[in-house]
Amino acid sequence: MLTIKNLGRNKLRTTLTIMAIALPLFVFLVTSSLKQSLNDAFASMEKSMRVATHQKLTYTTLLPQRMRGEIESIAPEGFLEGVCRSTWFGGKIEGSQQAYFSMAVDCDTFPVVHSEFEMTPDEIARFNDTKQGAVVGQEFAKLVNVGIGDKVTMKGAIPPFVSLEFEVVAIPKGLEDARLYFRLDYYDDVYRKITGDSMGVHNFWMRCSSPEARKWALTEIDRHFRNSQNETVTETESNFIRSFIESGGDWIGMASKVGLMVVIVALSVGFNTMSMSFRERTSEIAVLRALGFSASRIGFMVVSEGLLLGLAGGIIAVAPLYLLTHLREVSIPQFGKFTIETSVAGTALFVAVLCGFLAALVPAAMAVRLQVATALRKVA
Amino acid sequence: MPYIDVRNVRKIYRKKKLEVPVLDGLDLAVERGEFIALMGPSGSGKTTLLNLLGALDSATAGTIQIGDDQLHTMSDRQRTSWRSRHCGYIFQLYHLMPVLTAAQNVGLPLRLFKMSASERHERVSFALKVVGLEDRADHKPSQLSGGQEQRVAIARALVTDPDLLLADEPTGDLDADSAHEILQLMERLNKEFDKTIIMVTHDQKAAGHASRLVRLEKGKLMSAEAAAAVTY
Repeated sequence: MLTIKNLGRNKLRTTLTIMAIALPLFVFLVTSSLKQSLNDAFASMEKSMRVATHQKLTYTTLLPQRMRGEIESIAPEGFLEGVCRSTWFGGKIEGSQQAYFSMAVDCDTFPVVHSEFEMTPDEIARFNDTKQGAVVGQEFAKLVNVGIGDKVTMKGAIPPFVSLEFEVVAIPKGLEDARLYFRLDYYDDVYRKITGDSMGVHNFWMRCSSPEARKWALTEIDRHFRNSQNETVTETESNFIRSFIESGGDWIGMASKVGLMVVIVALSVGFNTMSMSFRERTSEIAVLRALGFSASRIGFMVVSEGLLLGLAGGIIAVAPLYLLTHLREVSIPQFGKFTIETSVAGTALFVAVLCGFLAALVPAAMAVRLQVATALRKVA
Repeated sequence: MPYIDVRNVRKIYRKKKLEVPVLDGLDLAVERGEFIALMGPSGSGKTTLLNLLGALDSATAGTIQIGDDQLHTMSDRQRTSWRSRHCGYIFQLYHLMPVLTAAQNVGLPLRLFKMSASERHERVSFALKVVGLEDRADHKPSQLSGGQEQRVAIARALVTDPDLLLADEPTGDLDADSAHEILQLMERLNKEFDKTIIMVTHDQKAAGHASRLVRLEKGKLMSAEAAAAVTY
């Protein structure tokens, strides 16, 4: 009873202490789960028959469109089910700063290379027949409030920053997130009008027909373009995405380390707050001892306060995200499901309680070692 | 055999290499049911003696026997347990828990004993009734006057029905009227409930409520006289 009452004594301080434990733990939880989700996604991509070719030096250097024909011509018969060129557009809706995942792609091979999107024959036909056609994800349709047949105008995030008008032709099953794919030939037409040149492409995505074909693609395409003006690197899907993410720095690793450091800072804050709280209550603890409360009982009381603070911080950090990811599906674009594993949530909760326990240990030891007569003399 | 038998007690406080003798071979005998006023100048060892009698501290040398219990042979744990059963402490500054109500403060020492909630409630109600605060049971200390706070503290000291009440300047922080009420209450506890009371005080008027006055000076007992003889 006294433990609970003591926690309610200074509500602001108690709240801030709980938040000091909850917030870093939240960061720690998100980064750990993100890392886990990405690793799971990479693991599932390992068996993918899809490979990607990009310019050898950077991911952003463009390659000529004609290379698609060269790749198709050197591939043994039946090895490649499709070669789909793609170029980043990164469009923004007018009046919004939000850049959407948007790519210009070959409409003829896109449904084959990205067969996970499960486009219906009607949708495929509409995409092939409509030059301004766009295949959008369900989340995109929801956010931008568009349906089949609706028009949407987006401005490119990279030079020449053109505005393109699209007509939604498909919102396929399997494409849940906020993405938009549109036709490369449409983008190329506009690009030519502005620059007088044909535009380049960032990647060639290919679906291989077998592991043997994939092995061929991973070695022979790069060999073919070696010592040319457009040297390439061909990678499996998982390696491509992993390398692409890592090219921007190991931000997940860094975030994990920052999260860990913040947990240590939170522990220090909790320790300091509990020590302060204990010092303020030295007289009360001395009085409890005088009433006959044993040192161990008072030590337990102080530790209980720490445990309760830690538990409250842990629940605030873990519960909302855990419930959110278990009650509805949360996905990371291109990676799939983001979830807070029960084991990760349990670990975070344990860390929170441990933080509270460790922060309370020294104040508890101080309470246990308190000389009653001396403490009473000081406060009398 | 007196109820409290203090023999040749010495208490030396050590601060690093410095030794400060506070009690120097003190002898004191108190009969059961006596109300003792302990007086003396600051630093004479009054509070130290009170702490030793309340088992809050241990003597450097000498023996202290209260009833059948020899405090000087007890460990810290045994002294803590003895304190909870035999002794009630009343402080100058009341020292109530600000987050608890009067009833919860009074009931605090009972948490150390196994008893039903109804028995606990009964005991708390009785203690509050004795001090005349049964209608203030749900008030927090901040909602009470100084005199009322001290009465709650007395109820807290009384609730476990100890034989011995130790009071360290219980009226030191109160106005004259409230002090008088508290002293009358303590007299009543002594006479009606047969509590042995040892009260440290600087106030001659307060000492007048006791049955015997004990004077300390430089850690030694100077005189023990009937309190009425020094009442002005």
